[in-house]
Amino acid sequence: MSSANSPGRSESQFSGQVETGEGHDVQGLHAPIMREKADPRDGFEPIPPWMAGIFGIVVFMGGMYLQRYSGDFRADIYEERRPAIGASAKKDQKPVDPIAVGKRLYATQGCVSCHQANGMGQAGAIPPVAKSEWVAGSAARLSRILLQGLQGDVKVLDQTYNGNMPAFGTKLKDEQIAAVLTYLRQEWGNQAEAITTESIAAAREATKDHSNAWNAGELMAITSEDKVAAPVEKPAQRAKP
Amino acid sequence: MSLVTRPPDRRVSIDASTRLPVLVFFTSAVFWLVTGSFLAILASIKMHTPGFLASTSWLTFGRVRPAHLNAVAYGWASMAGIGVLLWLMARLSRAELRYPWLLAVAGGIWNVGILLGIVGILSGQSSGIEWLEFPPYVPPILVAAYAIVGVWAVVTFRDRREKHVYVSQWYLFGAIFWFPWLYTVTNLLMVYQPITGVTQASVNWWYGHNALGLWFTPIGLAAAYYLIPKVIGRPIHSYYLSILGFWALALFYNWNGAHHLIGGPVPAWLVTVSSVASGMMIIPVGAVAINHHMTMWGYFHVLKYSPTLRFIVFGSMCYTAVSLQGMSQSFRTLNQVTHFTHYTVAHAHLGLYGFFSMVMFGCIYYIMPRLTGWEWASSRMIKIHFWTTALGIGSYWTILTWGGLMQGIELNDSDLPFMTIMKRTIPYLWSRTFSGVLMTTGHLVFAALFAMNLLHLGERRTEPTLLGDNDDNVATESAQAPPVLGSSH
Ligand code: HEC
Repeated sequence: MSSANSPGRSESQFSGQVETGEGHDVQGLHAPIMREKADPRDGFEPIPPWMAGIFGIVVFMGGMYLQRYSGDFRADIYEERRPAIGASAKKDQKPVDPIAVGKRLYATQGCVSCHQANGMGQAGAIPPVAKSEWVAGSAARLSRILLQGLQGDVKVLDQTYNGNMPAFGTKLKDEQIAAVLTYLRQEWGNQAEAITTESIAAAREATKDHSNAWNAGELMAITSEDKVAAPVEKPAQRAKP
Repeated sequence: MSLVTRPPDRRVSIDASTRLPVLVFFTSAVFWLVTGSFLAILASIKMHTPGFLASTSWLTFGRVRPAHLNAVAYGWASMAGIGVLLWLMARLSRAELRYPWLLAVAGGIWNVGILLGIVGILSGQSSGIEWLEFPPYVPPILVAAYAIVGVWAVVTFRDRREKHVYVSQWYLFGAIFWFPWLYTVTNLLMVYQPITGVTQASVNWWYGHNALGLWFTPIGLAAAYYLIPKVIGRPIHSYYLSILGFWALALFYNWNGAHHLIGGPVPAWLVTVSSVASGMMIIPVGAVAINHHMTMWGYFHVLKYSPTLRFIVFGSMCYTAVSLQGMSQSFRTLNQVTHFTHYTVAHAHLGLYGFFSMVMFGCIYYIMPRLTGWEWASSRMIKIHFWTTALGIGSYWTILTWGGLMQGIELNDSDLPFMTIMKRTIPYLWSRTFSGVLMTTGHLVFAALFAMNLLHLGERRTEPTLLGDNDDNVATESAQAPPVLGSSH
């Protein structure tokens, strides 16, 4: 082996030329032949076991990833973590948070313009929904206020109001009414049970012949709750009470 | 199985049969390399100094940049690659090329195609399809030229006298068939009978990515598989690793393209399959890396002397690096930071330059003296070429990778105004131009060396030019040495 200073330009031309690979002193016709080493051959060392192991793990992980994020190989799934629009997706769907939906409805359906963002209503004209005994009280009465509306004298927190609460029964679906009422019952320090979609459906069924707005007297006469087809759910636990 | 016992004159006549076409392809390649480098510098300057030459429509960024890409991809890289492919195929088949002049004609046609294409792009006729910007009249010209090359490579293989098919030939064979399939199908679907909607994007990236992985990569690997063991005179470490590497590449690479569409409006499975296939690339890449590394084991000191080996080993290391980087980028978590940033640009250059171009330089250093019968004029110039290009791509990659990462993190921060982020990239872009100038300097030195070799300029050397050489000493030595008789094959 030559040192870096004399890279093999010595007498032993063809014996010790491994370090350059390009033969040195070449002679006549043999030059092109002698300047090269033989063409490469194959060695037959086995594949190192650790490498085979790593490759095995990689293949396994690839399979897992494919299974997890391939969206069932469907053409209509574009977000690898989200299920499809449509039936097969239902099982993966998270239950909607009624508070979030209710909050949105409270803002978009106009409740906020009468009852205000702080739920305090407007002195002398619109009753508060915060701390209101109507809100926290009987679900049957509350449902009816929303379904068919309310008019005439009504006493809320020791103040009497006489205005017109519009009906929302035709505008909103059962689950929407349930959501907005659940929101009312658990916002601004209110802490009453959630209202279920089923109980609204039952109230709607029970009042299907009642098209006019209620007055406070009629409502107070209702003492029983509506028959609920499905079992009433446990009150939704608020994340932040 | 050993190839050692060959008739000594055969190699001379085989090399001689490749001389004309390979020289045509190499010379054109070097021309396009230099042209492409200047286009690159222009484009790079415009990134930080947008007003630069902006009033000439031919030299606006939107034209210069694709002109650069196409000049280096189809002019430099493909032509150098075809030269290497033809030479290697003839040599490994131990068969002379038949009618070599026809291949030289193919080289001429290919050049006409590139020239029309580049002028077309600069004059504003770009097709606007990434990697296929040449105007629609160019692809048929390239296909015609390629048809000759492809058929000839296959014919040469059929003429083979060597029974054993060496691993390099598998890769060459792959490239010979994969490229025309990719290029014609994509042109049909994108240019002549355009498909619509997001499928277009999928096809576009199927091509864009496979052009790298199933055209350039196999040629580069074929060259490395041949020249590493050839120069150090050892067998390739493991035939089994060779097989595993080749078939894993053939199996997985084709699926990779859709990882360019992460976050895009394509079905999730398409991207997921592509991410998985990209991850699987660890198999072919790991197999090749270990195979080459173990072959080199104990022979790394040869890098001090052999220009060929130094360039090729540098390129092979970049192949491993760029592949591992590409894998990581193909996963959504990193991709949503790096996509649409300079990070991707750094990655692309590590592949096509750090790996492929460096391997091609190495091949040209090996092949040219055998075709021209003239040794390289200056060891010092080779060293300059190596260090300018190696440091150039090294700094280019480091700077843009870091800059791109910062850019990506900032772009995902909705509180930062876009212009602020843009302005913060400017120092990186200046450094990019600097790296580009460094590489271009190397290319000019290389082009000069190449021309000197072609024209037999400089001192006649009796021995191969090695990097350990002190040019002055050699000059005096070779003046005293007897003239070489038989090297002008
Ligand atoms: C046009 C203004 C207006 C809108 C809009 C309105 N309300 Fe009322 N609401 C009233 C008035 C006025 C009363 C009192 C009716 C009365 O005096 O008989 C009332 C009464 C109520 C009551 C019973 C009394 C109390 O304060 O507890 C509830 C509960 C209630 N509204 C909830 C809602 C919800 C929920 C919405 C939105 C879906 C809504 N309101 C939208 C005006 C409005």
